[in-house]
Amino acid sequence: MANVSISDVSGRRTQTPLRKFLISQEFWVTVAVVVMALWLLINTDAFDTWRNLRNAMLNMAFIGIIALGQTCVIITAGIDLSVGSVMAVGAVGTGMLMTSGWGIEGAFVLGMLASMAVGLFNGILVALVKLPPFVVTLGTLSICRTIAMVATNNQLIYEFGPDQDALFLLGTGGIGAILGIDSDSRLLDLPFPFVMMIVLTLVLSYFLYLTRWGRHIYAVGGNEQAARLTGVPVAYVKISAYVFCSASAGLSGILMMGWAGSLNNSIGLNYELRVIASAVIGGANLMGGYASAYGAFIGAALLEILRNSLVLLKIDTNYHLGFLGLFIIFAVLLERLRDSRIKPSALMDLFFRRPR
Amino acid sequence: MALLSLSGIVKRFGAIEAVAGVDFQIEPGEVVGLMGDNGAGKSTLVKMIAGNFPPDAGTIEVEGRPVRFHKPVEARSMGIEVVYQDLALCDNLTASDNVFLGRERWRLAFGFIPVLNYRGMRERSRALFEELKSETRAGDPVRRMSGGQRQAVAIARTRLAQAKIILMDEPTAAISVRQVKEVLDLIHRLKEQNIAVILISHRMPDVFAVCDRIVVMRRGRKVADKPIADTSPEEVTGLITGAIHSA
Ligand SMILES: Nc1ncnc2c1ncn2[C@@H]1O[C@H](COP(=O)(O)OP(=O)(O)OP(=O)(O)O)[C@@H](O)[C@H]1O
Ligand SMILES: [Mg+2]
Repeated sequence: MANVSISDVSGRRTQTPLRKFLISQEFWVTVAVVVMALWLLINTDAFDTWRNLRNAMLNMAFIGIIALGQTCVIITAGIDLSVGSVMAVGAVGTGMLMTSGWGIEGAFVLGMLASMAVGLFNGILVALVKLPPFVVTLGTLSICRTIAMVATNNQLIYEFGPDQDALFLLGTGGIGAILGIDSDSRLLDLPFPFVMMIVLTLVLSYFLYLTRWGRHIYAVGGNEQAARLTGVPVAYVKISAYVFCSASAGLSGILMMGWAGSLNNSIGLNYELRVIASAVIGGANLMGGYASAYGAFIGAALLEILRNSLVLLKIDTNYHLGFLGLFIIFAVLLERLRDSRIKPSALMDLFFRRPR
Repeated sequence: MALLSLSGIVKRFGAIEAVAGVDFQIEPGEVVGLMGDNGAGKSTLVKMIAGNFPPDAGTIEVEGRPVRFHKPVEARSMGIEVVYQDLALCDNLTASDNVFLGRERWRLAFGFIPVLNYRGMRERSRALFEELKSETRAGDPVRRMSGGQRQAVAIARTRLAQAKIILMDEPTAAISVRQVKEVLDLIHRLKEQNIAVILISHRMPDVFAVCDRIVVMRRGRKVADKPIADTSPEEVTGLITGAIHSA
């Protein structure tokens, strides 16, 4: 035993980041997205038209942006059911101010503040009053929808004042048009909300992996009691997650209003379902402690490509929700399989195990 | 001057006098076993030292200076750390992340982006585990670790904080024989580093294996406080059960 180091004796080695990624839910969902995209590319004519792709990116962005916020809440072992209604709060706040003649900047800031106020309310009730997140956000889901309905008086709004064009540009415009660059390049025609989602994914990844806030949010989800005992500001961390989640919902609602070109009070209705589905498909564990920004991104991508294929394959929309349900269950099943003894990763071991 | 000195400590919960006037002292590098039946007041006493709540009466002095803690952070700032058996580790994080939880180190990437210094934290953790002679790997998630390795992570945390006094409430309850030995070895390491340890345990062999002194509590009072060499498991058992009144 003389020259044997501890790591030689104790079997399993520390996982490399690459190996970790290869056995992760995110990786397998990415594979599924690529396979489905290839399949659509080969078997349909409409998939790779720029119009369809652009449309898919927009659909994905409105859900993906919120899935990033939802992921933070899920990491803390919480859930935010109010996101769909908060989309309406953001959109109604911004939209009505613009209709009354406000410029887009001021209206946007106030719309975002209104959304974040909901997050603050959710966060305080969960973190300080210690009410269950499911119930609190179920409550704000109803309250916020009511606020949107009463505020708009059930009217459709389609006139957004002097900055109307700017609002529509944000919702559908290419990134080039927004930056004032004149070009035919498709890269510059990537829709702004989609680019925004990618930027937010990168920013959130930075915060989750490379900052103290990131370590703390995972710690709170992993073992709240432990986090508190070691001096992690648990309430602050939780509240910040709910505020960020609501901010992402407000932002998405405002962008979606720009894309739709009009505002009615059903904006974002039932979106909580798709948002949570994205996060869960991307590997977020509802028990807390495990989830990633990239998972939210790729989960939203899978959801959209699923929707897109059903449309392109001309499957009756009545079936769509059912397929979504199947995918959610499949995703959770996949996660369970990875955690259990008979895991697919045992197969991966055959390929990636280093010699003993 | 004692490192930690308690005098006349009292703590009541409603009608219950959980700790009823206890005097106690500990020196650097001393390992004291705190024993007593269920409800004797051991955890309550240790919680007051750890700053979970202040005593109703009596004084606590650290290195001769009177202190009054209301929160664990206040005790921690005086070099008093607690090792909780199960409570204080996050299963989803690595050993190194747990060691540095709440005390993360960071650096500037490209000269201006603050990022966590994972490599630095992992290297420091590795050094701490080596110092404790523990087979704990810094980059592994705590989820897959044995009870002994978890103890090592919890103790490494206190080493990082440069603790002078470490409180351990039943660290060897509910772990295997082999792991008990690991924990006892860890306590020996702490003693070598001149750290004072208060060990609460119901396991007589553990206490006799590592402690220099034994304190026995019964119904909130200290009924014995003597060097290991001057007592025996039989006497301690008698003191705990009340068959012997005091020694
Ligand atoms: N937070 C509390 N509220 C009310 N009573 C308490 C509280 N904590 C402890 N007690 C009571 O104080 C007494 C001493 O409890 P303590 O936990 O200190 O005992 P212990 O010696 O640690 O026992 P054990 O060996 O079972 O851990 C018991 O009667 C207990 O019921
Ligand atoms: Mg106790």
